[in-house]
Order: sequence, then C-alpha cells, then structure tokens
Amino acid sequence: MHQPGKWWVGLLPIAALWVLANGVRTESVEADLASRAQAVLTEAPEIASEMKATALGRDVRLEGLEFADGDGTRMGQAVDRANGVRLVDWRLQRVLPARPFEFAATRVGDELRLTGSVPTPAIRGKVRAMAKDNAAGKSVVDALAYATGAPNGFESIVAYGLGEAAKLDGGSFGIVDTGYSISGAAGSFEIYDAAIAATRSLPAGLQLARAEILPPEIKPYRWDASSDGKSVTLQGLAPSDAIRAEIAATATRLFAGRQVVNRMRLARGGPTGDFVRATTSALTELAKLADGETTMTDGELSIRGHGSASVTNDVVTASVRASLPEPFKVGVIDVIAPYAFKIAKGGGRVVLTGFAPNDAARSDLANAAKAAFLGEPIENELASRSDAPARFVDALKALFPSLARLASGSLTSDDTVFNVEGLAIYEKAADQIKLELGRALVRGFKLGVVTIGVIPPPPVLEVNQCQPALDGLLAKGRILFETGSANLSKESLALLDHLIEVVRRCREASIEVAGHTDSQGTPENNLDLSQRRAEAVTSYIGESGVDTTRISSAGYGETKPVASNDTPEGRAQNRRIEFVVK
Amino acid sequence: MLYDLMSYPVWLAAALAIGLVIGWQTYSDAPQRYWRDGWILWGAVAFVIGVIVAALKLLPGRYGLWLEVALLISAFYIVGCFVGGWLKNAMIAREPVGR
Repeated sequence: MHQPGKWWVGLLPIAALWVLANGVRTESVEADLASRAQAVLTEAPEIASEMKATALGRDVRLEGLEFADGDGTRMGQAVDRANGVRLVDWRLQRVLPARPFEFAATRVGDELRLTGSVPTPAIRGKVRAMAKDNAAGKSVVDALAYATGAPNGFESIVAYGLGEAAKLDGGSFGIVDTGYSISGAAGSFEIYDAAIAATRSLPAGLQLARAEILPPEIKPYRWDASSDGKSVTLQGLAPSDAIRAEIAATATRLFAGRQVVNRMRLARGGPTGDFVRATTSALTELAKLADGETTMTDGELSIRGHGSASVTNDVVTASVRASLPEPFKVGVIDVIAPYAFKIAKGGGRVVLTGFAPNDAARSDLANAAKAAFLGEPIENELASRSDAPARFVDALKALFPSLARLASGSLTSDDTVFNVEGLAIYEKAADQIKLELGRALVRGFKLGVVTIGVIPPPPVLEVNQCQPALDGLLAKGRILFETGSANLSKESLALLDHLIEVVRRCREASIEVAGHTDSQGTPENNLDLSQRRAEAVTSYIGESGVDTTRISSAGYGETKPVASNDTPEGRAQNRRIEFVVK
Repeated sequence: MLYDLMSYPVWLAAALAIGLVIGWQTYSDAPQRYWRDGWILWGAVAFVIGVIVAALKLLPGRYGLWLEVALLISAFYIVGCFVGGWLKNAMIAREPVGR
C-alpha cells in the first residue's frame, strides 16, 4: 500500500534540490530569455535599435528610446510572444524635440567629431557613413544625441555640409535649425573661391549664419600696384577682405579721377606689421609718379617708375623710408626723373630753377646767364643732381645769348629737349631767335616747342628820357665786333635788341650812333673801322624796322678816348659804340 | 511552463528519482492511513495555491520563476513516489512464495 503520510521524508532533499536548481540555473535562464527578447528587438531595427531587453526570472524589461508613440507597445507585445517570456515591462523614454535643433561636424586633431542631435537611428547610421566617407583618414567620433525637430532635408543638408567642410583644412560645419555655418582653411585659390561661392548658393531652406573660410597661405607673399598715368591696377595678395577694401579705397583717394582696377586676392602668410600703412606708403609714392609700379614681396617694398622734376629717386626714397612702418623694409627704389631745367626772364630778373650737375655747374650757369642777360639780377635756385645728360651745361649756355634777346620768356628742358616760349622785341628778332636757337643747339639736344611772339608796341619816351635810357643799357654791356672787323658779335645782339626797343620808343629823338676805337693801329684805319662799325649798328637797327631817317652814324676813330690807351682795360673802354641823342 | 520543463530536465528527473526511492521505501503492507490525515492535505492545499498564484502570475521576477520550479519539482516528486510504490508492489507480487 502507498504510504503518502510518510512521503514527507523526501521533502528535505526535494527542497535542497530546488534551492540548488535555482542557484545554478536562474541566471542562465534569465540570459536565455533576454537573448530571445533581444532577438525580437533586432528584427525591428527601424524602431527598436535603441531598445535593450533585460530579464529577471522569466519577466523581461524593455528600456531605451521610443521615437514614435506606440513603438514601445508594439515591441512589448512582440517580445511577450517570445517562447519562455512570462511578463514584459517597457519603460521607454520618448525622444523629444530639440529647440533649436543643432548639429555639427568638427575637425579637431585627428578626429571628425559629430555633435548635436540626430532624429533617428537610421539617419544616424547614414550620417556616420557619410562622415567616414568625408573623414579623409580621420577617425569619426559620434557624440550625437537623439532629438526630433530636424529641419527638412536633414540628410541632404549633412551630406552637403560634410562635403563642403571636407574641402577645407580643419573644415567644420554646423547647423542651428536652418542656420548654416562653415569654417576652415582653403588650400588654394580655387578651393577658396569655390567655398566662398558655395556659401552664396546654399541648398534651398538653408540660410548662412557664419562663414569663416580662411584664404590659402601663399609664399612668397607678394602685393603689387601699377600705374600707367590713367589707371592704377592693384594686384597680388591681401590678408583680409577688410584690408583689401581699405587698400582699394586708399588707391581711389590717392588716384582721384583715375580708374582703380582691383585684382587683389586674399591669402594668408602676409608679413607681420601694419599691412595697410605699408601699402598706403607704397601707393602714396606711386601716385607721385607719372607711371610706375610698386611691389611688396614678403615685407620688402620696391618702387620703379618715372618721376618728375620734383619727384626724383632721392625724394621717393626719403619719403618711403619715412613713411614705411616697421618691420617692412625698403627694397629697390628706381625712379627715373627727367633732368629738368628752367631759365625764365621777366620782371627785371632772371630765375634759374631745376637741376645742375654740381655746384660748379650751378655757378657756371648763373655767371653765363648774368653775362648774357645784360647783368639782370640772377636768382639761382638750381639744385645739384649728378645724372645730367652729357654736355648739358654747354648746351644751355649756347642758347643763353639768343634767349637774352627776348623781352621776356623762358626755356625749359626735359632731359635733352628744350622748349622755349617768350616775346621778342620786334618781328624780325622773333624769326632770328628761332633760327639762332636751332643753330646753337649742341649735338644730342633738340628743340621741342618753340613759341616766340612779339611784344606789343611800347609806350613813347620823352626825348629827355632817351639818353639816360640808352646810357643805362650801354652801361650793362658793350656792343662787340669780331676782331678788326665791323661784324657784330652774336653776344651783342641782345644788347642791340634792347637798344632798338629804346630807339623805337624815342620817336621824336634824333640819334647818332657813334663809333670809337683805341689807339692801336693807324688813325686812318681806326677812323674807318669806327665808321664802319657805327654803320653796321645803324644798319642792324634799320633791319629791325625802325625808321632810320632820324638816325645817323659817325666814326670818331681814336680821337675821343674815355680812358687811357696805355692799358688793356683802358683800350677796351675806348673801343665802343655810343648812342647820342641830338 | 513548457519552457520550464525544457529548461530544468535534469533537476526534474532528480526530483522524480527521489520520489521513486521514497515511494519504494515507504510502500508496505501496513494499512494506508486516511489521506486527509497528516501533511499531505496541507501540502495539497499549498500546491493548489501555488498553482493559482503561478497561473495568475502574481509573483514578479525571480520569485515567479522559483515558484514555478518549486511546483514542478514537487509534482515530479509526488509522481515519483506513486511510481516507486507501484513498482515495488508489482515486483514483490511476482516473487514466488518462499518455501
């Protein structure tokens, strides 16, 4: 007979068996059930990839993120159908919208770091894949968090931004809602231009919030400006957009009225120091030149071009040395300035301006002018400059006697070209002066523009004023002849012309032209010579158009000395032509 | 419950074996005590309550699992006891009467 009343004796080993079974098998059962639940989740990655299953006994708990309402319920029910699962408890966190929705891909060191928000696991996977494609060897660090509220076309925005940022060194991009930012350094002008252009044509729906795209780094760093007198062209490199604009504005100001062509490009690697001040210094000097160019290479400034009488190599060099800021250096200054000279007669004085080769030449020219211009006061404002054309002083001195015949006027030189303008005392003199200037030219020089008019008829002098006026002129110079002849010397023509002016004004006066000699030679010859010389002067006056009926000539030979004939000086004084008002 | 059967086969077999031994050992010709006497009644009541609690999944987590294991082991033990007694009866009945 069965004895159930005695079966209790087996309860103790049965209890021990139960305890032992629980101790040995519980965790493995739980692991098995968690694995089964996880397998169910894995079958629905689109909604359950951020869910995790754990088991306690045969009860399963789902934790993680729920991207849409109902996702947790659906997955809970699916897991509940798995073999062995007794109960399912899901405690999922609903993914919330991000305000604002931010996303950034930043290159830091060897990493391409993804930060901000991403809306779903599927998109996150695509973003990671795109980041790897654009990482160029850098490791992708995913520090993204889930959030809804991404702008429309989030994937294409990320693809666009990653692609643009990958073109730049240290390229990074980000969005804040639809505000797009990009930063990085361009490796070449082409990349820089393309990156800047891209910021101006963003994909639809995006607005540019910030673009910090650095231009390429270029060595050597060269900046140029050139001027042809009509326009100025700015080329080469500038460190920033603001500096480029400032340089262009400076050029517009300095080259007022001239076209400014701005071809400067942006680049890094420029010299330290005040780039704007340095280029302003260069442009200031360039603006002084007729034409030229200025170049700044790695902080060394050079200027070449053509200056003017007052803008010489020395002037430009001194100016640029004074204005160029540290640590910029002055390189080659090669300014070719015309060798300018001017002699101007008028207002009772003769003014010399421009250049002479040296101090001796300055004095030489002043003395020559003094002798030629009938002792008129000479204002010598010449500066020394050594690079004169060959025989410059000789060429000028050869022209002085002809210039002295002018009532007023000037000669200007531009290197080897002489321009003359002025007023002659009478018509024929104007023609003669033009001819004489041509004949007197030294080889290597030429006449440019020669404009010689005639002074208007001068006012009439009272008869009693005539003799003092004539004597005054003769006191300044003497009428000279070729030795032993009655041929007038060229040097005397200026004096004669001015005497003619007085004679023309003395319309009422009868004037005797008296010739005198020293005592050298025979009295008969001297008498003849003095007569012929007086007649030569009268004839010259007549050729000027003056009515000679009131002018007579007389030769007195050696009979009326004014000084001793025993000395050379005395004899020189005795050899003379006098104008005597009768 | 089917999952439990699949997960604890060795342990349930052990419970069955213990039941066989106890059932064999306690089987005798002595008159059977009325079954309502002793521990068997209270044990049956506890088992039924356990089944109800398990069916209604009232115990959470590991306690629920351990309860199910306890019910299964108990059931296999009792079945073993009956089978052990029955085997003993059968084998003794066939032995020839000693001379």
